[in-house]
Amino acid sequence: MQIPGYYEFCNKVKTVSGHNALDKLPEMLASVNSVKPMIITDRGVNGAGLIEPVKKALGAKVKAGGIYDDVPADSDVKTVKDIAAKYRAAKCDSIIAVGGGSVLDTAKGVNILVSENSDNLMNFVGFGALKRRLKPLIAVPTTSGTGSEMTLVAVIADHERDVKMLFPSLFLLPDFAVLDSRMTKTLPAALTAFTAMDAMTHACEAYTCLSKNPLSDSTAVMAIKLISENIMQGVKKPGDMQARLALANASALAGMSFSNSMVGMIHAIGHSIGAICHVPHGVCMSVLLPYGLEYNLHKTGHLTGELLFPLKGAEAYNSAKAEERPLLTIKAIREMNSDLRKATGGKHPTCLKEIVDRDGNMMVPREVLSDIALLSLNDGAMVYNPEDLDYKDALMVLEKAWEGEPLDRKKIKKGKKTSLVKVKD
Amino acid sequence: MQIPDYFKFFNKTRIVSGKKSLENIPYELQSMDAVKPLVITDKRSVDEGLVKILIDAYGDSGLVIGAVFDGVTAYTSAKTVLDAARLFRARGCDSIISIGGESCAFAAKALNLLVSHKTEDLLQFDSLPDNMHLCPFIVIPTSDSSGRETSTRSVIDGRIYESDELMPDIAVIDPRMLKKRGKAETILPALRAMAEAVEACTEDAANPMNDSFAFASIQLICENLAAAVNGGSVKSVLGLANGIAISGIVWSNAPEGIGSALAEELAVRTGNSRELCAAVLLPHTLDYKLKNTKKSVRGELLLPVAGIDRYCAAAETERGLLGVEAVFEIVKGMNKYIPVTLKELNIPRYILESTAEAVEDSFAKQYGKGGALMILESAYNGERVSGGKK
Amino acid sequence: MNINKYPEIKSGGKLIKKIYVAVMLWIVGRAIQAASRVDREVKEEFGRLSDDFMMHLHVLPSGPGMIVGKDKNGKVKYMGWNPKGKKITLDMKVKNIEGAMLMFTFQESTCVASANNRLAVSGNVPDTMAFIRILNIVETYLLPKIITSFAVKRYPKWSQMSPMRKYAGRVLVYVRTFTF
Repeated sequence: MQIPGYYEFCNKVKTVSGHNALDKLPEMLASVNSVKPMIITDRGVNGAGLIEPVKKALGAKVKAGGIYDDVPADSDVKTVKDIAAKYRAAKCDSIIAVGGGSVLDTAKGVNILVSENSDNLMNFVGFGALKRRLKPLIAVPTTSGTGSEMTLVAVIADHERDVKMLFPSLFLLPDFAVLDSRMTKTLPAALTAFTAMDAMTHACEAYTCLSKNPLSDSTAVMAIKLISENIMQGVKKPGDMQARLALANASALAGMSFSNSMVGMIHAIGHSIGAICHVPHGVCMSVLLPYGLEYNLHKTGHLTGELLFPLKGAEAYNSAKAEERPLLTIKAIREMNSDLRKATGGKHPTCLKEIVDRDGNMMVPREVLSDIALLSLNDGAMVYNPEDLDYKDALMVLEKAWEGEPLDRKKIKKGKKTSLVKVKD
Repeated sequence: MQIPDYFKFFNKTRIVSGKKSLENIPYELQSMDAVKPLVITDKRSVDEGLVKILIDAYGDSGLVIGAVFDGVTAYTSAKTVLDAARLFRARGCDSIISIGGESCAFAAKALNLLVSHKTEDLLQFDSLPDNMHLCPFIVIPTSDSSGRETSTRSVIDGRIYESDELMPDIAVIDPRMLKKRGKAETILPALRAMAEAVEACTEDAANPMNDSFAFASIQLICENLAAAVNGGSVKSVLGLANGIAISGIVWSNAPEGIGSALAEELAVRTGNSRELCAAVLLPHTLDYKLKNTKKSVRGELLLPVAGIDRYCAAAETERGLLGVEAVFEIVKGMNKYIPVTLKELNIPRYILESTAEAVEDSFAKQYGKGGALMILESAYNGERVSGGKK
Repeated sequence: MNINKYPEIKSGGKLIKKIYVAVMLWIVGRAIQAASRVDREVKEEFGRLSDDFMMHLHVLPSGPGMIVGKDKNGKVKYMGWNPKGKKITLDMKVKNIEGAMLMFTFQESTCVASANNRLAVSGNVPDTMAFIRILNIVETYLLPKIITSFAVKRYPKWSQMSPMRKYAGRVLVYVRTFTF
């Protein structure tokens, strides 16, 4: 186990996991002295009937101060202000966020405004802006992927100024994360597939990027193991509650891991594809994961090799030589994507050109790759990537990922090689 | 991988470990809205120069340390805590830093209860409420640390205070604070911490989150113990201290196991240290669990104990047994420096019986009648547990 | 208990380290200004930044620091250490003087320092990324390869650069850094 010269790790979120975990909501609220929570969610979640178990759990004892279900796919300042006003008007004293990444981000933004009694999010941008405990926030994820229930950052868009504001603060970590298998039961197969691969990517990048540490390592390995063991079951048998619970736990573990070790080029490029082409985050992650690991092989090949164990099991790890493992890991991830493509009837993409919207139109046309490459260089995640990328490097990765071909590793400009195993080009 | 139908997991403590981590303390306190800490510690930490290292690290911060209270002794008493509380108030402090082993952390946690509730009476805290707004509290582990610093527990005058919120906000593990100790003094807290982490992940209620932490703790201890004892490179000592600190988090998230209950009772009855009792009992408890319960010792234990290569090379059905053997190997390897059987400690037989009796009731359901005594007897001779189902 | 037995402790100073970091910041600041005139890549990076770009890199809580930004004519300038009266758009704080020492004795690269959470940045992310890239280029100019290769992930292959940038660029940066 690698002990870094320096590291930090924080995951102060009370996790409550189980097939009926939501039923503990009244206890959770009581423990933070809350009597009037506000429920924040989006139309999709509400439409799928997922607020019902929450309401049922609250029962007669707790009366919610309101349900706001109009959170857009991309959390923005206006929505945050809007909800904050409703929160104040209803005199709520805590937030229950039910949904995916954008709901969580929005709820975190609302929490800043109502706790600091402010109307201007701008005052709280950047590190160290928040100094006090906020109002209680309970996160109930409805996908098993983003891990936002375990992360300390909120990303909120200001459409007027056309910027994305970043709020990194330990005070934004939710007080509770409720992992209830019922909340992901109705998730369609394709969504289950790419959200799980999103979590997989968090864990793989966490294990190979610059801020890795003993705890991010062990949580990442655990997450990868749970995902590999349960992803197919979750996709093929949506009603398998044990698999659902396992994936929810995996996603939270991966969130814990990457929130502390940060992520690298896969996220940097993925964020940019999302920003330019509006592709869901998890989809970008699924496709890019093998490419990121491949690009960094000369730096972190030995770490990638170790991941063969949680991905394919002990026998597969043991029967391969150390220098073969890194490429086998990458192969295993590519196979996983292909298997998911089969299992979802072609909905899960294995390369960028296969990503289509609801009407079957290609979402990432080849001609935008250069814009994506340029934008990705300005993404914060690049800092934590083991190897540098310039514009040409990012474009090369994107072009190969578009076609679905492996990288030509001879063409990668390599800095000092730090991988403990030698991987053949 | 084992996922129970229901579980809870919580770790309040942020770990900040490594080079120049002490220097972050002023910044960290300020980001929790605090500027004036009270340092609570013992004479040994002062004599070893640890307090001075902290004061130097404060250089250029422009902040003031309210006072350094060095009156903590091995047995933490309410009087000590009250003295510290008076000092805290007189100086207008707003946060707490403890330097040292568990007694210092216990005192700090109790101090936090008093000053955050503006009271002088510890006894009023019968059961601790959930939503206490405590002062920012930083623990700096030293080579005296047992892992209890990062736990939910404080023990004052033998009375136990327990709450999630008593966990420190930050544990700052700085290599400069980890002074060299005698071999036995290095080994014992590490083995006890390992025993607790091992026990947590060999319980029926084990969950993937606590397992992750337990595996990290066990692996850090197993990989670094020998090197820390023989020579003590900075890396190994830091690794060990990390493993020990993480074990406190794991322990707080697991039910009490038969091994630590036995160690506790045995320590009380014989006057031996808890660390020593826990170390001696560790492999034997595990051996007993393996042979008498189906579920609890999972093959996965081998992974943190022996490392990924040995784990993957072992046949699946053998992993449980190999894991236990590897633990035996580690403990026996320390026999040059510490006793590893109860016989070496000259514990008479009737004490074994009364010790077993004391814990029997709580664990008979789980491990069968007579289990506790079987563990103690095999630990007495240093032999494998005889009989049982394999 | 006699409270006076336990005195208050005021934190000491670290003057020498502060002076060292101040000198390094002065050199780096001047070098950024110089490189922005000489190096094509640095020029382009600055070109993409907004006209009011003003970066304050400083050590908490009380300095030293340096400011680099664009002046009224859009020229990149080293603007000393005093943020008073300047509108800072990118505020990069090193959490303490020891963190700054690790960075400016090149034991930790900018990326490793970020990974180790030694920096607290307020400002938008693209600007931060651009500035880190500029810093990396400037370091390859200022320092011998053996040191810079610790500070950056991959050292640029000089063979890929024009001889102009390789030698003349370096000399020019040096000259412009140390003359007024």
